[in-house]
Amino acid sequence: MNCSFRKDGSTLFEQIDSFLVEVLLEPFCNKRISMDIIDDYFLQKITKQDPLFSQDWRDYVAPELQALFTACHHQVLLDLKALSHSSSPNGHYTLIIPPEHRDAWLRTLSIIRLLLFSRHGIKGEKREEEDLEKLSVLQRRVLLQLELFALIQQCLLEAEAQG
Amino acid sequence: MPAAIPTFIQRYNQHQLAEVALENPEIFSDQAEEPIWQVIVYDDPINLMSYVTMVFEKIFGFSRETAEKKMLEVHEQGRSILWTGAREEGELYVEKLQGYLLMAALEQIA
Repeated sequence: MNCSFRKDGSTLFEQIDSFLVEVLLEPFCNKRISMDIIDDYFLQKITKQDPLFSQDWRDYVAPELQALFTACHHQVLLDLKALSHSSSPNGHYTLIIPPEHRDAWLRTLSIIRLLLFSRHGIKGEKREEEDLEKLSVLQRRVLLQLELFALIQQCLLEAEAQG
Repeated sequence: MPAAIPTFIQRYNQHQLAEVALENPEIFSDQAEEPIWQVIVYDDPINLMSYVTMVFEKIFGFSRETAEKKMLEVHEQGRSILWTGAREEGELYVEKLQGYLLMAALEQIA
């Protein structure tokens, strides 16, 4: 997979093989975002304070965040739909992220990473080769997804820095 | 019969002096001071360091240098105070940070 930046500000991911496409699309199969995990993640710190504070957060802030995350997720799904139709004769795919979609992608990639961390009990530390062998096949697949999403996010941040 | 006002007082314009005093009413006010709140961001296992730096720049308008310093505080000390002020504004900052999946909270300064 190659990453490059177009003059119009788009970030281009080319030469994505069918396996990486599968790995990339898999966490997006659920078209709705599970807000329970996201709520728990935020409430870890909020509930340390006044209990009324966390109730206010649930009543007023959580619905706004859900609306924001759903809109971002929807935008990303549209770009991924275009990716799935981009197959070239050599079986490679291309993902184009326009600058106006970048913010939605950055947020959504963090959401997906959070959901993967949480669902599969994987921690964020760096692993050596031999540590990977201790993980189950599923955990290794999830780890690959986490690293792939981090890589895409890093490319988008570089695009953002370039303006 | 009213007591005589001492002559030295009569030399001053009392209305003028009263207006000056009203400019600093909080000195004698019984009202409690407004509590001060701080926006805190905690370390998390999800977000990339460069991502956290970008979010700080975007939301608080920090320079790259300040944003990186704050990000490193979060990473090394587990938390960083990003902003201090009134509760309402602080709540907005927390919501903006959470919109980028940063683990943010508002805490009252004792």
